[in-house]
Amino acid sequence: MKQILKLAIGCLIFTVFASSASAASSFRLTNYVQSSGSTGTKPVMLHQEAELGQTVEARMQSLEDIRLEYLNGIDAESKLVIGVDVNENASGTEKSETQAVALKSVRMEVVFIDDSTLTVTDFSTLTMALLAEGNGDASTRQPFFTLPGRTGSNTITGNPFRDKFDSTITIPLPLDLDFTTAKAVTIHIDFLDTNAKLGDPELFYDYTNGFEDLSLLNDSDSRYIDNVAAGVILNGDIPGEEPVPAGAPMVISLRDQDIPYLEWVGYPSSVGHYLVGYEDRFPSLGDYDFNDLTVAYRVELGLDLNSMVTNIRGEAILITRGAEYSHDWHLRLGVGNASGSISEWLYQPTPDGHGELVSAPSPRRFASNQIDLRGFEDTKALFPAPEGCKFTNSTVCDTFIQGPKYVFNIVFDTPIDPASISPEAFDPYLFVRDTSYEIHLIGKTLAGQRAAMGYAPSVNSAQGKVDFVDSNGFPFGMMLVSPWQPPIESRSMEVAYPDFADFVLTRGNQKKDWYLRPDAAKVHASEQFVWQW
Amino acid sequence: MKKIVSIALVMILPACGGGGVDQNTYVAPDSTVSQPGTNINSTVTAIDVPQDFDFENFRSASLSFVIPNDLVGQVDFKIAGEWDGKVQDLYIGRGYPGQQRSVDIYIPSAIDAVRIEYLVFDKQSQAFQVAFETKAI
Repeated sequence: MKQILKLAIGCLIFTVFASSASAASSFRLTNYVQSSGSTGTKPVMLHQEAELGQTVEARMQSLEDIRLEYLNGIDAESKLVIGVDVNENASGTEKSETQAVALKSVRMEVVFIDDSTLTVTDFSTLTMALLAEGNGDASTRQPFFTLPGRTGSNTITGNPFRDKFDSTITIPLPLDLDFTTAKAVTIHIDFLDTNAKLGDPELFYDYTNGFEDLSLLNDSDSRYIDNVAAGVILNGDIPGEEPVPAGAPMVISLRDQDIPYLEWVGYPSSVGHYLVGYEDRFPSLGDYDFNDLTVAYRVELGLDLNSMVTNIRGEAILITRGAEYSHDWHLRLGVGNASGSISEWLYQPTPDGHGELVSAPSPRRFASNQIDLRGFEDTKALFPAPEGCKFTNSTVCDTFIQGPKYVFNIVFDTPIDPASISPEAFDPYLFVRDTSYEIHLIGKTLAGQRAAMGYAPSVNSAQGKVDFVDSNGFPFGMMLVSPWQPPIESRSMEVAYPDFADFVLTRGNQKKDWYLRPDAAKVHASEQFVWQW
Repeated sequence: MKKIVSIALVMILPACGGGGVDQNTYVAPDSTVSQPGTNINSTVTAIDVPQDFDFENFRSASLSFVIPNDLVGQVDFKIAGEWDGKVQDLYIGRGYPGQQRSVDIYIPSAIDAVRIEYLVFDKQSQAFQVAFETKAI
């Protein structure tokens, strides 16, 4: 008996020594968390994972090797760590640099060779959020573990796990567990069905995509991924740099060290858009359907905890092009005297909602008090009419198409005072390529830096056309509130929206919500015409 | 004769796609609609627009508030309005109990109130709180 005990201890010492001497491997799992309605529920059967070994016994040995590496590591914990590649749609409040899902439950079931079982329901991640589940209202919010991540990586380490995976799930295990005595190990990962109708944080942490990739991580890979804090820190994988917050809203970090945070101001909100419609025959009278070009856009300011603006991000989507002319659409922002860099991306819509990147010029520097972004260049080429239609989404036509999306991010070298970025300074303007006229909203001035930005000069100044009001007192560009729908071709605004006249005649004091009551026959039917993506 | 020529011209004009039209030759597509204050025989833009009216459908508002003193832990807050059938997050911030905050927002003119939501989590005790406040603007 004594000899057996000595042998057992000897074997244990040898095993421990052997385990600590050679690092366990990380494994990419072929199972992933797959969508089932709004939650991911597909079980991950580790005993069937060929990556872990050729036989069930070999797979169990791989699990045990990893468990022992953690047990014999710095933290001396018996556990497994799952890596998750967060792969959400970069839309709404989720961006390529920060996106996330929340976990409702993680459950590991172990079936041993003698048919006994072990169920582990404890788990943890390094971040949480207060969230309302299902259809619960805001008062039902409670803490849930979350998995933040991002699209892509800042650095290529050459390690496929460190480059690909964003977040970790830790599953604590009994000290005396021995996977080599098991024949089946299954992990159930259920994402939380958040009530996205509440906006953030639920909208940010909702589960929107088809699947999230998984891996089984060894000690060093899981530590690396935890330190990078993808989706929480923008530059966590660049050694020596001060951490820059990625912009995840309302994230609760359970790390010991403080994580910098960004506040966000949304114009008009983090999920809404300003709609702006133009009449492009300036300075001649138009037909007042404001659909010659219709654009949706939003701007968000990121503020540090001193309430100074560190960056401005935004997006714009083309909605209609009811015009013979072609245009460039610009967004001009007053920024005080500032310098920094501008990154821009142009996407065309795809059926899966991800969009196809068609242009991403190298970030450019600026040092100015004005930034003039050319979001869409040559709208006629960029947003052509569908086959059989004269214009794009403006004539009565059976074919509606979604328009391209422009995304930008401006990072300031030194944070600036938000007072210098009043929303009234946002100037969404049109440059009509056929006439070389700029068209601005009422009260806005001509863009003064077109030449400096490399844009074609306009003829407004030379021709004295610097006021953007016609002889009827109407504007050539108008900011509109969603769910305003563009009138169909040649139906003027007051015909398509019967309350519009009262709104104007009372100087905007009555019928402020005139856009809620269109004549349904004279605007696009909303069921057919969904421009947002 | 002049009138006939005008009508003929209108018929060959494109369907006014950005369709520049001369005010004198345009025939409104829906001549049955007549709005208060409109000019006779025109529905194009026949509103007598008040002098210097800016057609503004949004307004600026400065919102000041104090984060409640009885919150314990990390205090996240958001300011939200509601339009277009959904909650619209105007500001997402982080502060501390008793902190005075002032925020400029720019929202549809028809919105007359916003809601401030506080989401609070104390890492040490794992306790959490949610609180709400409605502000007229």
